[in-house]
Amino acid sequence: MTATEGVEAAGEAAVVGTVGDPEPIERGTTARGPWARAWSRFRKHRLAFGSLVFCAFLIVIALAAPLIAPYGYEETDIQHKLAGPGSAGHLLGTDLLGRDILSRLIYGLQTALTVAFGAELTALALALAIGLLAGYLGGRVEQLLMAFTDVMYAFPSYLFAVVMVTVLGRSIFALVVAIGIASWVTQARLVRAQVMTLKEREYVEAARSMGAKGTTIAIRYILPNAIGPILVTTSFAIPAAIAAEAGLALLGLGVQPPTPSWGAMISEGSRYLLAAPHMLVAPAVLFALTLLAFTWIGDGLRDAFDPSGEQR
Amino acid sequence: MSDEALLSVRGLRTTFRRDGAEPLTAVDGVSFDVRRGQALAIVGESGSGKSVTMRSVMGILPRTARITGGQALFGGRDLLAIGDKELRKVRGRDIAMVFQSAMEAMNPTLTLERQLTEHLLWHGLCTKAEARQRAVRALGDVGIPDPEKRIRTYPFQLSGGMRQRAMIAMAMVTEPALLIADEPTTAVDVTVQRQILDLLAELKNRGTGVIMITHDLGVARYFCDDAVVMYAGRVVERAPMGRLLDDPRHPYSVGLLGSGVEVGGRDLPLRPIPGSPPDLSRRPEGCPFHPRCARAELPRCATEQEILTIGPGRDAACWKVAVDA
Repeated sequence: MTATEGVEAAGEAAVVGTVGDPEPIERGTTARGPWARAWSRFRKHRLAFGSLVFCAFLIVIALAAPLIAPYGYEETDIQHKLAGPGSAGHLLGTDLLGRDILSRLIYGLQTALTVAFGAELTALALALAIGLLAGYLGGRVEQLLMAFTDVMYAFPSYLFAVVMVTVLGRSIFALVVAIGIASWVTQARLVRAQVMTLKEREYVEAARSMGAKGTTIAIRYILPNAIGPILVTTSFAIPAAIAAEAGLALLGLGVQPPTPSWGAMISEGSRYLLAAPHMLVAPAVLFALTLLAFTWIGDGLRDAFDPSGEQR
Repeated sequence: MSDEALLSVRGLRTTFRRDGAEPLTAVDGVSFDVRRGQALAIVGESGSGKSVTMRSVMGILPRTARITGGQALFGGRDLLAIGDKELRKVRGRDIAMVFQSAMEAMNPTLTLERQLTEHLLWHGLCTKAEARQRAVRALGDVGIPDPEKRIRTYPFQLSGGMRQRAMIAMAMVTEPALLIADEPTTAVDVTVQRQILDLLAELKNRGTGVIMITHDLGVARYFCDDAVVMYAGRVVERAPMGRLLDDPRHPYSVGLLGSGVEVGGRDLPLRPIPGSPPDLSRRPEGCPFHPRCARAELPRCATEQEILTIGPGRDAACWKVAVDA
């Protein structure tokens, strides 16, 4: 580097933040998109970031369950039924049938996450399709779609879940459909509301004035700007779905035993609360921590996409 | 440079549907011409129908609006009759629009490169690589330093003035024959205003027809050749810019000039027009300006409004101008 270059570089650095420069290079020239900015704000939210790490850890465990779990979820150790934590090679003890609780928790995590993510992805896809169509097209299509949404909204979701599980059997698929369909309605309304505000924005008009097609506008101009709030509600819907799965299991409508489910484990544990409290405590604590972590991620996302933080 | 009109609007009428009420007529029989390399100012207060007029021509009206009459001839075709699919090919390619605020008019999730090249590709005007080059050139043309680097940034990373210029580059990258600028200087600082106007004047000199929608005669004066004054959805006066400023005829134009702080370097006493523009749902019969007009004479002003030609390229919608002459 020559001497002059060095001086120029120093001068440039000094310019940042000075007043009076007619065309200041605002906020640097590196292309940091809206996503990058949201991410950097998210990372500053310690609780949310910690929760994200925790949830990522849970997802890895769920994916690698057969490798990590010390026993199979059906494997019984008849010699050590209702063994306390730490005894006889069972870190969190065993249940009534002598099954390893830690292993069942790990497989139960798999169930919970599959149902929650499956249901919320289904809900999100439905909500995006219906909300975008209704909000963007308006008119008759909107009336029809929203009438349908309202009918679904009025339907008690647990009742719906009961019907679904009865029809489809007690399977993960049935739970995904039941919970997904129960939660897409609020999402669809949110998407529609977002689209309705965004389509009035001037850049949508500008895109039209440049000859953009309707689909281009919906996908390139409206959707990316609506995704923040949608992502936030989805992240809050995931813990709700985990809780819904547990709730249905408590009612005996969860996955078919012996496939482990946290809800079923909590329900079983509560029956032996005095004799073997570890049967209840372990799944309940993990359940609570998981819900908290997902909720905190939602909090962080909400702050990251908060429009009032947009201008800094 | 031909004298033939680039865009010729005749008798345009646009109405808005309302729930449980008669449709609202926002634009009522508007006519004007724009020539190549000429700039036309459409002047009026907010709500006078100037923006709706241009949105009608562009076919980007809200869903509740309907064009109920008139013609807009452009390149031998009536834009109001060719249908949305054909009109979409004209939009952005042959006629482009610049908006009041670039902050609002640019998609915050797309880089400048995307926003400047997308419509080139939609219209199939060139390949992706060429589009990038054209976009860089367009940014350079509007005076954005280091366009190669800037093209990779997002709108919010630019200063207000640069953003406004980037928006003009976005409109100009397809080299349209006609540019519609809707209040392009209202939302920017005075220093930036001057730059934007210089930029538009330069485009005009290169042969682009420009329509400038504005409420500010001071801005229009700067580079417009002709002016159309609108009031309550109608054209009240049409004149060459200089003539309008020196010798406004319609009482509304007179009032508008009198209420400008400084027009044409003369310090006029500030005289606001009494009253306020009519609610379009209760537009006065006859000349819509008569309730506010100092020279109104009843009953004639409340029953009819005729357009009188008062000179070359000049007419006014007031029978009194004939009496004046």
